[in-house]
Amino acid sequence: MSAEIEYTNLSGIAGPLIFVDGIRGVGYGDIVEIRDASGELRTGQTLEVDEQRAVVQVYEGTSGLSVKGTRVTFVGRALEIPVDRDMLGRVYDGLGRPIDGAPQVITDRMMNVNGLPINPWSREYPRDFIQTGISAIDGMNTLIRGQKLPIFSGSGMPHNRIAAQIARQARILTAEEEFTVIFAAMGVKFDVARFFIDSLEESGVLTHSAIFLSLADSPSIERLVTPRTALTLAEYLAFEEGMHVLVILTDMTNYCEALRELSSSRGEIPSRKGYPGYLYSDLASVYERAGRLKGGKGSITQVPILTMPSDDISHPVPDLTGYITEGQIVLERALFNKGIYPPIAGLPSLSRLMKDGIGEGRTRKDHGQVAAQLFASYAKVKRIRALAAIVGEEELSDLDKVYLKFGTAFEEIFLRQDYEENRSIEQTLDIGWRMLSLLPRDELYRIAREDIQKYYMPEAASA
Amino acid sequence: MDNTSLENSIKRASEEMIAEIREKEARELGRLDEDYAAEIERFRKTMEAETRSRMDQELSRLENRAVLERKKLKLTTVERFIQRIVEDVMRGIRSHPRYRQFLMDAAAGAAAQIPENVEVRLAPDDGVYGNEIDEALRIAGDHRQIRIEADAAIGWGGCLVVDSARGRIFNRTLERIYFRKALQIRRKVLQVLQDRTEGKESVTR
Amino acid sequence: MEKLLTGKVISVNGPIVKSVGLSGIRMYDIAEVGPDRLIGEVIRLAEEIAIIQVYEDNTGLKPGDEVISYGRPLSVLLGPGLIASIYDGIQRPLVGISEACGSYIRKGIKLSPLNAKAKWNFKPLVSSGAKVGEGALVGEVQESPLVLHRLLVPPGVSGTLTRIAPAGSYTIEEPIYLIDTDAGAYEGKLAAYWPVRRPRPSKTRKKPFIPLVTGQRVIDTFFPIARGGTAAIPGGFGTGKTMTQHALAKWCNADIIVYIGCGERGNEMTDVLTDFPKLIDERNGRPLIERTVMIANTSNMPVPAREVSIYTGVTIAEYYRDMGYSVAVMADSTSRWAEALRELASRLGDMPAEEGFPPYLATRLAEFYERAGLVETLSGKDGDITIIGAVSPPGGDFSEPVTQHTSRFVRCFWALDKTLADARHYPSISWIDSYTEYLSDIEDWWKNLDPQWLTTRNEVMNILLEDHRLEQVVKLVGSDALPPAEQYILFCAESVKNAFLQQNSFDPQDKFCSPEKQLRILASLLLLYKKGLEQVRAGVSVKEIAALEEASRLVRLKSEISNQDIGKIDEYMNRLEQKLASLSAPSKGA
Repeated sequence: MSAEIEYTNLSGIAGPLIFVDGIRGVGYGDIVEIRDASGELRTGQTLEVDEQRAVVQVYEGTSGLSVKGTRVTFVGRALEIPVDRDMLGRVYDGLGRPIDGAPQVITDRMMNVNGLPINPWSREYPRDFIQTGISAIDGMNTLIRGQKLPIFSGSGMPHNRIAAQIARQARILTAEEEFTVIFAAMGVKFDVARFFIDSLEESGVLTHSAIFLSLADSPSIERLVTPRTALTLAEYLAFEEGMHVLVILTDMTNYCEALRELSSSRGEIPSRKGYPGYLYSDLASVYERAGRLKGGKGSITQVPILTMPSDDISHPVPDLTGYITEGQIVLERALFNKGIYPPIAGLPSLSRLMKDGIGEGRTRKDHGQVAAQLFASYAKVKRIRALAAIVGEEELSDLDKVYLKFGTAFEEIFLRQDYEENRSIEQTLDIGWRMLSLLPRDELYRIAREDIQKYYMPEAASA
Repeated sequence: MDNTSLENSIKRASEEMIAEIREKEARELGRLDEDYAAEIERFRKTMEAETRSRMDQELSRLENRAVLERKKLKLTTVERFIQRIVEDVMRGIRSHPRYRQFLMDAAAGAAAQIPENVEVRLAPDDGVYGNEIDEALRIAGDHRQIRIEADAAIGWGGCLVVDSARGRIFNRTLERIYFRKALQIRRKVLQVLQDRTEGKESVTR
Repeated sequence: MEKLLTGKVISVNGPIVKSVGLSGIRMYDIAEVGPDRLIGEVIRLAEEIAIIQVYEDNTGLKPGDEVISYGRPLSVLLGPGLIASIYDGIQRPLVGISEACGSYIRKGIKLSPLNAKAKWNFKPLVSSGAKVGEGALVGEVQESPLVLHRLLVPPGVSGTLTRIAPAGSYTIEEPIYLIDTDAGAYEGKLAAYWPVRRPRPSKTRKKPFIPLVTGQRVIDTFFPIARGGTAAIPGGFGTGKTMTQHALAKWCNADIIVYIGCGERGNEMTDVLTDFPKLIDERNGRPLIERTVMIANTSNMPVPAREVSIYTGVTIAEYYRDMGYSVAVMADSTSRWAEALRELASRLGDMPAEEGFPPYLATRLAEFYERAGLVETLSGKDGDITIIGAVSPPGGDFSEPVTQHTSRFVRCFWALDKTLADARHYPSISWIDSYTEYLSDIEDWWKNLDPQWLTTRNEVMNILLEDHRLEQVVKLVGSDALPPAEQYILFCAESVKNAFLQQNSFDPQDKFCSPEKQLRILASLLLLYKKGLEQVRAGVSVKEIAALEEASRLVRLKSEISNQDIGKIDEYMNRLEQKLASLSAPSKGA
């Protein structure tokens, strides 16, 4: 067996990158070990190789590295992490190394963190309704097992509470199965991570959860690998162990900022707002690692969380995310300021997979039409409110006033619920009907007549 | 008008009124009492529910911790055990009959890939092999310069061969070999341990 | 031609690989890279360096690794068996890949696009000794119950047919015919290769004149597209681009659909894959899959393959066009294709133009849409390709480069509107921002169904435009401040939106609306508008008309009356007219 070679000719360090010269036979995307003068180990990956030189991104950052005395080993394979059922219950760093005081589980299964693209033909179209117990989600933006449904939030809004509530309450109606939760934190503060860990602990699911932390004080470049390590474990658990995995990724905006930082260190041509042109493809390589496989038992459901800078939904991060994910749960500042929890915006929120996961035999026959009608009527409320702001409420027609009443009730009764409150889908739809019953019968043009017959009850609504 | 009858009627009327007020009062009080009792009952129930959920939470927290701590303890114990075995083995490795040859081969193999100046770094305890390596390299190649140095950073053994002209270090230290193989070694040790425990269990049963 | 060239890798930057030593290699030739023989294409030549874009994940590739090439251009294999297939961007069969390596796409896998073992029932249509030119019909194969596959002499080949196989079963690899050409003998088989980047030739281009009937009211009536036309569907996320594309792919009356999922969601392709075999085409009672070819290069699959996927798709479309079919190509989304172009350009160090896109973005888009059209094929038949491209503008902003350039090359623009989508008004095609240039081209076709078609369409369109103008006023003063006639326009516009524009693609009656049914509903709306307006002018209140059961019934016509039952709409119109007439204004002074 020949000796392994360490290279010491660094021609430069820039941001999270080091440039290593005089190399030979180094593969693109290979994993790299970097040891500083004191022997401390860092991990990196090659981004570019030619006959002389390799460009390496260092996941732990380059702070404290110098061109002299740094030794670099090219390991000759891609970044892998061990995967095992026994990894549940533990806390890891972004590279999948335990940071809870105990050693790594001993297993012979190693998986490449970059995964492989799922063949679209091998996917199973997601159809199983997940009851989250939150009316705004279950009723109008249904989460489906195998879906990727992000939460678009703004700074200070309760996205973490909502995600924790989903993790705690999520149930499948058709079977008594519980979720495995994998939580990956990128660039968030420790208290956010603590909140999730506590919440998982209180609901007794921590033992079958795994937590990957790359907190605000970790080097930003580590955030780029964190969701990938988390999803690698998720894929193993879902597709090899047949488990149903809920992956929460927070905060994807921090992830994207790390990517921007890396791109600018490489001197790449930026597209919008300084983000690299490949942000879409890069995000897709994270988000598309969700779903179900034909003939497989398990599933990966993703709930990425991202904060929209200045609440701007057209910012590249939410924008490109929305193009990849199957809908989005948008939190609205105005509702939040009114003190409504969860402040889930009625109109811009959407679940693309909802149509196939609801209805007779899944939730209830009237579900789709109730949701469509609530959306349409609430859209009208928004228009009338805009009008009322100009002409004054007194000037509105009687019907418009009824709509305003409906709007308030919708927000205060349907949307608003307690952090501990777990509503069944029946309860959610019944509340929905109570709201719709505030409106005249003729206004319910999206609902079949027989359902109106069955559920419309103006007397109960006014009571 | 008869004063008395007027008086009487006023008295009667006021008495009736008083009775009515009293009755109303009593009714009101009764209702208040009931409300109050209901309120207390409600409060008690919420408290109970809250306490119960609090207790449930604490309980699952404890359960979670217990399970996890046990898992972690097990891993730590195994890890410590592996560490001890490895250290024991490494301490004794110099007296292994094949160690000298391993060292010679490692140094020579690396030096063969370096055309110019060569520096071989050895663990301080391996100083005795210095001259022998130096000699072997001189015979094998035509390096311009050969230096043998002691390196305190090498503990277990093996060597580093430095090609300063090209900025390369050929690492053949035992530390690095172990580092590269750690996963396999840990797996092996664990396997042995598991086989043992299973074997023992079947005997005791 | 079949000379093996070898070279070696000198640098790797993402999917862009530089190599030296491939002397004599040409642009767009295939190169196989590294020990896994990853498929790549030469996209630039600079002195001795050949730049290759690799269509597969190339992590682990090293400088010094071998590159080989047979000097063949990147091509598509065209022949029976394309229908109902699903391919990745470089025409590798996804079903085959899944059988060979499971749920994930492993790199380096090579499979023939067409099943070489399948036997096809060939029927010769010419006999030996005949003079045949390029595009001449030689025989046919029933490829699917819906598609008769015509075997044509390939472009560039002509001469005397010296041999032709008798009727019988053949694989795509067996010789079928032999032509004695000036350049020597040409042996024809059921399948042949064609370079993806070269458009297949045709005789002449013609002006489109038949509408592509989509069954989607807002499109067919208000913004129709002709067979052989081009359209763009721009829309921010969540506006329903993909849903609209799916609806068109399902119900439009093209003979062949080529659906290109370019850099989009995996589950959406799965949706198409699970839906199309089950969905039955009303016109022929056959599953939709029997006329569909799918290209899926989802967002997590290699970026360069996304760039080439639309060429793969459109080349297959041209192949069927040449047989005389009407083909519709759905490309979802051309923005992802443009982004792939940008990403590769950036890795090549090309000077960027707007928003980092390369300066040749516009040219490439133009070239793509130019492959649409109604043509007289080499065989003398008419065939056409309609291209419908989704555009995903960042932030829903139509002023961005891809939307802007696309709008220069398409003649039909179906702008999706966020506000409509938010109110779950689907398809969320804006009647204000959309346009079509095909109205006059296809007017004659509609006139056969209804001589008044264009007038009716324009009158109803005017209600919508008037409504749009009034909405601005209403925003300031409220609708009660408008005179009754204008309030009535608002009411009618609302009816048009709910009863006509909005369409439920999951409702069995509503998902496909026949042109005849569209005309009837349109007439009903116009009746409501005209007769109602007379009454309003006479003093009847808008509320009274709105309260008529017939007025609210209009919204339900689309879902309660089937395409076969449209006579019922005529009955309904009679009742509506009577009811409207029976309303009388309160006597003066009351």
